[in-house]
Amino acid sequence: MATKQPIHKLTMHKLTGMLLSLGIVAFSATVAQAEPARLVGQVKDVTGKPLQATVQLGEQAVTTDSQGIYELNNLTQGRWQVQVKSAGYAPVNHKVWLVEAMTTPLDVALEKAVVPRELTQVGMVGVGALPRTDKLAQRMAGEMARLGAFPEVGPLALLQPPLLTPILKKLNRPLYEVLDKDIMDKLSQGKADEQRVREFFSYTGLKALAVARVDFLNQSENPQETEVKSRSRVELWEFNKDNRLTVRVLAEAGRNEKQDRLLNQDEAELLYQVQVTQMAGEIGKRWEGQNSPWIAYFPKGTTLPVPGSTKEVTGEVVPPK
Amino acid sequence: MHISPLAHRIAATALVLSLLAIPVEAKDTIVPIDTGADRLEVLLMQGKPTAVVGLMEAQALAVVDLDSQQVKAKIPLGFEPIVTRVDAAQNRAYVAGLNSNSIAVVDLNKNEVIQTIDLSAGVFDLDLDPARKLLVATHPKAGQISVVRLDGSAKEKFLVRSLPMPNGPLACAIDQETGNIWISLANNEGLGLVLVNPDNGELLARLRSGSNPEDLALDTKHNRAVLLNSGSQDLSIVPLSLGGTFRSVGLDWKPTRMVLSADGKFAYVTSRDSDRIQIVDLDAGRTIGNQKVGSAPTGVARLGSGLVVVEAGAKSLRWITNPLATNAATANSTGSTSSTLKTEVSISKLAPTRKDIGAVAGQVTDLAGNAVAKGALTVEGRKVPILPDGSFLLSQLPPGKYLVDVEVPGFPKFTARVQARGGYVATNDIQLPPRSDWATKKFTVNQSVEGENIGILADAPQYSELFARSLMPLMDENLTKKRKVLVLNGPLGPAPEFARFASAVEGLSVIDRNNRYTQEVEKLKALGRTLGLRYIVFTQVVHSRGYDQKGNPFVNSVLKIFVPLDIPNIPNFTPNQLRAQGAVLVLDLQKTKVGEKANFLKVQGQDDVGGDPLYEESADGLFRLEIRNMAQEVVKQWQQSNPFTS
Repeated sequence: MATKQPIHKLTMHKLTGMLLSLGIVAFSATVAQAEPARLVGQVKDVTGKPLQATVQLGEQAVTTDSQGIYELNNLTQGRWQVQVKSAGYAPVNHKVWLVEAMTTPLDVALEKAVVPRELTQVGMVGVGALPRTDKLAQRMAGEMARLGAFPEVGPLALLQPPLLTPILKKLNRPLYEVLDKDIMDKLSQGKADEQRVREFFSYTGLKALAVARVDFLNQSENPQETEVKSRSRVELWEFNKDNRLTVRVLAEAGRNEKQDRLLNQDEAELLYQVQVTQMAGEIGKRWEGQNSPWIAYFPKGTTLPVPGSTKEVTGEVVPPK
Repeated sequence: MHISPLAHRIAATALVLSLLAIPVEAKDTIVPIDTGADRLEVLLMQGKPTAVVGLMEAQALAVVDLDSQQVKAKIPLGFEPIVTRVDAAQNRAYVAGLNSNSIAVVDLNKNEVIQTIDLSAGVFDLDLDPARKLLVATHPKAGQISVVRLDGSAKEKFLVRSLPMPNGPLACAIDQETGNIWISLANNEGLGLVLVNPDNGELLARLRSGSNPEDLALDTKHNRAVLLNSGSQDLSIVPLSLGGTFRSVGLDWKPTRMVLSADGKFAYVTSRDSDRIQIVDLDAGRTIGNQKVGSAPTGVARLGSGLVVVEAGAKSLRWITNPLATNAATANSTGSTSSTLKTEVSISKLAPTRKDIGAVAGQVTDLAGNAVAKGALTVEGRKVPILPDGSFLLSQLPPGKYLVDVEVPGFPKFTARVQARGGYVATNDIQLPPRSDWATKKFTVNQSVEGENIGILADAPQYSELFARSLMPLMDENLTKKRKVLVLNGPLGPAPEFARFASAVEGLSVIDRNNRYTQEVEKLKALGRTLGLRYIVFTQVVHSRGYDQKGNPFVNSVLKIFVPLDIPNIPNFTPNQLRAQGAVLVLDLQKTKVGEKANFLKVQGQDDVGGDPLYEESADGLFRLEIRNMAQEVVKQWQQSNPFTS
């Protein structure tokens, strides 16, 4: 909706009256010719990236340039509503004061809109209810993408948890509650909150989601040694033809190491990280060729990239002459 | 042929003079330099317009022939150069950067570094006075400047003196008449331009500026200095003689670097973030136009009637027609001159703006971010009403800082600071201090019981917030007497109403060692008044597992709301004994007094699971179940003796 009139129009009459009542006399000299007001500014997203956006004030509208910059000249003074819109972002309304012969700066940061999207993606995300397991699960998801167990091609996309924040805020749940680890039990008992998952899929544009989980145990029964155990699981969340949620386990893996001394938390953490990488690699091996669970999401005859053949970077240090 | 150094210098001086006097034909050309750059110097070398510019990522100095659009030489430096000064007579360049504690001296005949002047810190700006053999460098991080006396010989001996400055020095310029040095200072409280005696470091004068004056130019014709303030987004025109008036000129875009026109009447100001050059009429004191250039313009230098601009984002130098000349030409003719511009350069002419008068607009809100509907502001003896949507407009304010008295019914009187910029409507929202009285209708979170709601505040993350979230749905109307229940903080961060308080509440110790309320309760009362809360419910959970004797490290460290709780510390825990203890404290913000004994409700959760040791996530699941049960237990006890009746 575009406001065609300023919300509070400061007519000369009113202004002069207001100012006169305040004991300002000198103003009348400048009232003679009304000069237009200006609005300038920059539109960015929340991370600071300039955006192509439309800025509308009354009947005037402009598009921002490559730097997200806009300028509106020849405006009428008063209190106006400004609307800033950009595709894929939530529109924002601001109220500004315009004063004749002056410039009003207005910089705007837009947030991604949380709206239902077309369900096209097959996502992969790592999640845990505890800060440490969450970190390891995210590492698991990342390693599966890096080592080719989840090649990021076609509809396959690795989800970055920070970018999910607006969606989770809308659902008012942390990710570990949306992607409940007890979902399979709850589904069989009919206690699962399928609607919440459905909304999450819709806002994220998911047709299926692979959820990586990691659990670990750091137990020392004997003070001279530590057992470093971890296990991981990849689940596939999908809605079936009847639009009911189905969750199945795609793969499980585990590691168990004995260390001949007591480890502190940081040392154990490193070992867990190594174990996570090993498990991601192991699952990748199992899924080579036609065993890949992702092949179903591609047209028949597609060959997926071979695990292990991805993104190798070599570096060379050349000493100065 | 032998030319005496003096003759050489005269010839070079003549060259420089001719550069200023004879208009070089302006062109719009682009020279790629393949790397970002900051400031540059432009001069005539062997009759050709040449730019000398430090290449940042390439860590080299480039000599660029602007006529043939070629990089003639790249001299490796081994640091990121950001500033260059050229002694045309000696054909030497002095180059420095922020991450190198030295100045490289480059021979532009041989195109090699011939010497290094060691300094105490990284350099932000340089200025050179070849006649006085004086070189000045600023060290913002060290809060010093270096004054270097050169002796002009082939293998120079340098005398370096470092002088302390009152704040971080940014830009520098040598006063041609006296040889004293003008320095602009960061964090200057409005006095950011100082005149320094290079021999003893004495501060001879301290003058006004804006905030963060990153660039400085002297205009000897008008006896004034122009400062580019990236902090306050304006230019300061500072008179260097008695009787002149200080002026500030607001800019549309955050300024980066600038250069003055030959006659000192205009300033060309680049803006890295906005891809623009802003043209400022210094006599009229206002911005008269802006010109779009390539990506991320930084350094700018004058060449004849044109400008040479570093486009750090596009990694090129652009030599453009003097924007002012184009501006005048397009204004006079019917647009035919614009065809001479080959690139996307466009100039928008601005409507005349009121100079030296600004306005401040904004919104008055309470601590929770709600707009207030009435009240008044007083500035300079003028009373301006607050409009029903909480907004206000203070017009007719000359640039500067003002104190505004804010009077809003229900809030204590207080004074806010606002800043006006000439020609601009500055935005300055005003946030009120906590309410002085109990909330009225306007400020309640819900409509049922005004100002009588319940806020649940969880201690450390993890289980305390789960405890809080589990309590909320269990609290029925009977229990809460139809009050609204609000969980103030959760796993996705604080509730929007509470966001502004989150940091204020962190580390609050509401209860002392003897379980008595401390003075900090007053802060919570203020919070309650603003959010319309009658009660605050604190939740805390401490949990432990057998092998983890440390417990939750967050406990009593993030939010010191409780006295240390006595947790059963059984030495030889078998792995699967899970213990949790929850504590709930209901604080009646109207009745609680400092020094009173706090009564909190404790509940225990216990789970013993046999078999193999539990993994972390499995144990976590059991803890979560325990906590949900504990919440039920709390609500059961509340139902027997309701803490929300008063």
